[in-house]
Amino acid sequence: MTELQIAGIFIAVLLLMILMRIPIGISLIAVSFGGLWTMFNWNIAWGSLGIVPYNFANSWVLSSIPAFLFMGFICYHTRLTQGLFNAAQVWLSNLPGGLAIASVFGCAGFAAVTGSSVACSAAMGKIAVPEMVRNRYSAELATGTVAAAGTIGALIPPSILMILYGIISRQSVSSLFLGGLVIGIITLFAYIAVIVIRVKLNPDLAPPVKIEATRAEKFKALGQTWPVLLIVIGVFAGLFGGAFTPTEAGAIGAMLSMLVAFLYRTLTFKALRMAITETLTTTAALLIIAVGASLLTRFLALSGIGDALSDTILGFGVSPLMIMVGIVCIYLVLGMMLEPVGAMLLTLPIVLPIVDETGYSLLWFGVLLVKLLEIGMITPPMGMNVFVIKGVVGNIATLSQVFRGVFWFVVIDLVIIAVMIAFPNLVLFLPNLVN
Amino acid sequence: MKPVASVLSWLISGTSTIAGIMVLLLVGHVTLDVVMRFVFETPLNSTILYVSAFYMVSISFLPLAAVEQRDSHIAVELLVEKFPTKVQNFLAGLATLLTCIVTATVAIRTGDEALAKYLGGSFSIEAGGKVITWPTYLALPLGFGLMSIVAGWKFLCMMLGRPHGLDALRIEDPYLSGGDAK
Repeated sequence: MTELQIAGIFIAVLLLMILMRIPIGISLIAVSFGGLWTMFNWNIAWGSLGIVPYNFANSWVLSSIPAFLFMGFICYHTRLTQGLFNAAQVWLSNLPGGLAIASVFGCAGFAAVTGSSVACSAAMGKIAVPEMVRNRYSAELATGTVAAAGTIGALIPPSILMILYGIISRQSVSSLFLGGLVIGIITLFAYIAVIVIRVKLNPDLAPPVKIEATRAEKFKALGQTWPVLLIVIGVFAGLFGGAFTPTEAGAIGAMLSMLVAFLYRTLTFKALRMAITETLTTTAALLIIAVGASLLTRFLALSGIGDALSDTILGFGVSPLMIMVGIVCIYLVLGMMLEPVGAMLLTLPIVLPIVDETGYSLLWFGVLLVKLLEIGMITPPMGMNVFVIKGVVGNIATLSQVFRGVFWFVVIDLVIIAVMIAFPNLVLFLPNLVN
Repeated sequence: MKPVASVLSWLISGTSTIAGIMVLLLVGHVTLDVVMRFVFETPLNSTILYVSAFYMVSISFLPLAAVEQRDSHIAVELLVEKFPTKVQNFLAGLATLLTCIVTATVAIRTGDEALAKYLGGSFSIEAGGKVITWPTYLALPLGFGLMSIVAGWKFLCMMLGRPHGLDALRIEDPYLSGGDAK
């Protein structure tokens, strides 16, 4: 049996284990260890198991993950972002579907302090959906909008997915954040366009809402957004201005969040404990997969299967564009079944060498990948954001209604994916400009 | 059964508390370093080493038992959900047993490594002098070891058809738990 065949068998075993609901991190470690032992010898497998976990975690860039997670969880548990929707509501309610547009802006604002789309959806769902339904908005539009807008959370920095991608692909996290910012803003306006067009075509979806507010009241509502603005400006001015590394930006952001929550008198011991606990369990759950993926990369590199796979695919003589379309289709399907971190870390050791060979920028691919995986957060059967919104709103909408509500947002997401592939510079111009 | 669950819950809380302190230290240390650098132009020595080796390694591995206790692993539910309950229970037992074996193996190997670093007196030479680093290696055998014990305990309880009784680190979600938004 050739080395490639042995590696292929181990990859098949890995997939089988994952489908049997064995934790992805455990499956990756077990298969990589078994693969290294079978293909080489005990010493290489045993040695890798001792070195890889420590060396992977002992990383300055990686430490930005708990820092940004902590910042997001502090904002979440102390409810610092509630003023965002109120302000957007006062300023935008006169537009067609104004409350839905306000919830999209609210999600985008929340996205700037958290790297998780689920957190965005949960927070905004609790605040915005009841308000929309009270104003006779269709439950489908209300819930679908917030579920879809939550995906902006992983695009607008900070983004945990982009940090992990940056470490594995050796791309600058700040540049990935800048590329993600552009696509996040494009997504924001595309979603607003979807809402406006749908409401224009069917005004029953969102009857006009009149919020009478004087200019002074409008500015007062805008003033409620200062906590988020302060944190965002503090973090991103330093990060994109080149003064902070991602870890420093995350730590400063977490400190600012605690300070603002303290001034707001929402920083209770319980909120702090919850934020720390969630930071720890999220980091550890991510890291065990990342360590497993790092071992798998070692196994694939030593076995040569990664290179062989890319040589085989490129050997078909298919154009790089068609290969990219194939990769996009695979990730759209994977996103429907797998959680984004799992899907990304599981596949990158195999996909990255292929993308690299096709000549596409790895920076561009990182942003595209995050967008693709986030589409999986709102598509059935495993649309996590949809489940979260259903959990938040209770009987306001059925699960099917929420899934129907996100349909047109998924369509516009696919258009954005097509535009990103057709015009890679859309993603790259801002990172290139800043660098 | 109950005393074992209580001791395990206490150990999970203990290791997670140490990791939680590391999160606060990470945030405080890095913020202080930035302030010292920009305000006084004298950054702290060895910040990168302390953050990467001391805080990050602890934050990554010490809470693993809490992840196991709370079933917070990232896993694919899609196919298994369609199976009959008996098959689902069998697969859940298999996953827990495998987790116990794999993490025990990693704990033994990283324990070897930690012992070697201790015996060699592993350190790093930084601008401020010599920094002892061997204690940072202990987070791995501790984290993976406790995770293995927790998984083993859960497997035993599954076999006996009893609840595992572990109750460390409950999380209440401010939005999902029904707390009213202001």
